[in-house]
Amino acid sequence: MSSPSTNIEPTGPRPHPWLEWDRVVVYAFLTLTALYFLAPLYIVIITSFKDLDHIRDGNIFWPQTAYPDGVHFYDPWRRAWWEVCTGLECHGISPNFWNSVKVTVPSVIVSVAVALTTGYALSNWPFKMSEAFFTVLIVGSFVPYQVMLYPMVLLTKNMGIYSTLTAVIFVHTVFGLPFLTLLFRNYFASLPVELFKAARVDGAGFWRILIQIFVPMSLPILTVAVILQVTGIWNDFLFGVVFAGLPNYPMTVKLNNIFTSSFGVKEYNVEMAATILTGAVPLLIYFLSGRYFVRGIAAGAVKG
Amino acid sequence: MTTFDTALVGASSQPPHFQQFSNLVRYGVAGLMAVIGALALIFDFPFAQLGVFQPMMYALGLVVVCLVIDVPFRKLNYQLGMIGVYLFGAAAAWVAWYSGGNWLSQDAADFIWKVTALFSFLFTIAAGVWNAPFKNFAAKTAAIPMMYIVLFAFIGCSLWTVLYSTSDARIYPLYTYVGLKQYYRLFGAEIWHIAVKNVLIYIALSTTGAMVAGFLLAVFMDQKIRLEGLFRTIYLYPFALSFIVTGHVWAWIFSPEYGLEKSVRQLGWTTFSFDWIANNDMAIYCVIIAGLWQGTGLVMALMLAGLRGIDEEVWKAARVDGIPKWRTYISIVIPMMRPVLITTLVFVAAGAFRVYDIVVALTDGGPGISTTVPSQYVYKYLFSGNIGQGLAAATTMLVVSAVILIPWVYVEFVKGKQIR
Repeated sequence: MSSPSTNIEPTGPRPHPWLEWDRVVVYAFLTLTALYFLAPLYIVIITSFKDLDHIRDGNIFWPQTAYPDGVHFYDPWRRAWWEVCTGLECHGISPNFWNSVKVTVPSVIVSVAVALTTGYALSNWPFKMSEAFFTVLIVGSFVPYQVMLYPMVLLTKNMGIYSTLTAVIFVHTVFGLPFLTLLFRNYFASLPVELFKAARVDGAGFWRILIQIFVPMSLPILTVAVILQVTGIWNDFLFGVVFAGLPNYPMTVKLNNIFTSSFGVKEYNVEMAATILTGAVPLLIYFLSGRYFVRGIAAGAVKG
Repeated sequence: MTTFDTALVGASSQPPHFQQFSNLVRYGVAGLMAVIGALALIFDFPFAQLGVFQPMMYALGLVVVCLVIDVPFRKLNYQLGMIGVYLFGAAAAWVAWYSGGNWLSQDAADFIWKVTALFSFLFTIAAGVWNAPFKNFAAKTAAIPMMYIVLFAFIGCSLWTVLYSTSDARIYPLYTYVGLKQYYRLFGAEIWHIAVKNVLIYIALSTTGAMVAGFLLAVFMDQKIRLEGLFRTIYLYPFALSFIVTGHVWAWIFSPEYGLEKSVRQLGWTTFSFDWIANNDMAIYCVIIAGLWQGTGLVMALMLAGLRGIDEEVWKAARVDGIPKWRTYISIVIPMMRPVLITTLVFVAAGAFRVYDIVVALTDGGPGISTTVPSQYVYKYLFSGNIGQGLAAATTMLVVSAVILIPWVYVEFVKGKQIR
């Protein structure tokens, strides 16, 4: 094996050493920022498992490891779910959890269905003035809700649904429409137009094309829309406090009331447990759906 | 154009219409209907006292108008549809008038009648001016909820707000014209000045902070690292939380007697001081810190999507030319990402402009009034018996956001779409 072409000198890029300084810097930066983002969650979780004495004397960074007799680590959570008071009413945050469910499920179904149809009509069957309507819709979605808040109150009073869950559902449908329509319109516009044309040639009409071709094809963006709406509606505060009425308050409103209206000793651990309970549903959805969540945000914002 | 041409074009593209009245008459009648409709919408006229003659007059009037403004009634479906709308309106009025709230609540019946009446008004106007509500009929039917929402919720409600901001409505929304009195009062109020100052600080710092930090994170994330999914999940999870949750979490950390200050002192640094949340001048920066914690991940995700959209060839070309990495980012990548940057900027700034929940949860405008923001000002006056004042503040917010947004939305979403 001594032909001149066998060269022992190495060619190609130099193999990476196990430890490079620029990689260390990158990972150090990312880890430190990740710790900063995780710290509040950690602090809140350990606080929710402490008893009040430990909160008063201890350090927010360290968890409580030993409990006095008769005190359980889950006590604050139990109190937050079933017992904590706002004003004279002491049923914990659980009724409001169900209120939130009762608002979120119908709002998501109605708003996604309406937006799907509208987005399809706007992208594939444009009519005179449709772009003008769409422009107003998008501008409207950026205007602060406070501008339309009071007339909406009058409108729902007129409809006889003010201070019921129906009103909250109605308002979420109205104000969820712009972003969802944008999402569906852009998605349908990105589908190959030949598909639509072929269906037209075969004699399918507006509704038939929608139901038999576009709805089955829109499954990815449908998932994205549902995820965004569930988290968005669950996290809403303003519409809940204005339109729901006292017995129908969703979870976020109740949470805020727990913080502002507690008599006597402030139970910080219970408050923190209630906070985690309120954040649990969107967090769970986020962790389970991860990629779709990011994709939805990117689809709405970047593609434009 | 000769008669022959007109006939040809008409035959090929237009359905047969009645051509009995001149355009002037048609537009005149349609305009009149529009004025009546607008008056009805704004002043609740003429529906305030619902009588039995009103629906009849209304139906009769609409039929006349339809004849005059040339609605193509030839097709049976269209006729039936139109008649159905009128019958429905009349039935709703009848229920409202005679049932006395037995079948439907009085409010609901009243509302259905009003909406149906207004819808048929608008429909007839559209038939006159637009002259094509029956072309592409299915798509327009499907878009009816959207049209309703645009006309009533977005345009109608905004106009109502603007109009009633010139009234001295207090607990009840009654209209008495007082000119710009509410605005003089608004711009003279100290709390409004504080609110405007706060929202400007918030927009400036949280937008810059989120953009810079988000871009930096995205650049580091783009170095072909391991565990990218994990890091992205960690940076973005606060965005899934409610502002109410974020606010209370950070209020706990900022709290001087239980939070960071006490704990750091306990660890041995006894002079450590961090009581911004109780400090009039510094409390707004607490809101910014919490807002950045929640919002930076979103910017990172958007920027990362933008960075991934840049062609690999660009990087190769820069490397061949011997341009250092940081220089490539600043001189090549950032200019290429301009559309993404602008979109993100608008999203973040619009979110910052309407900041409300996080302030309510974190400081509730305190200490004192030092962290009040405009949205809170509006809310406070609307629901504490000074509607006119709240609406004046809301109108100010509307004007500011409209002036900034309309050109951007037009270019970004409407014009840009057609060019691509």
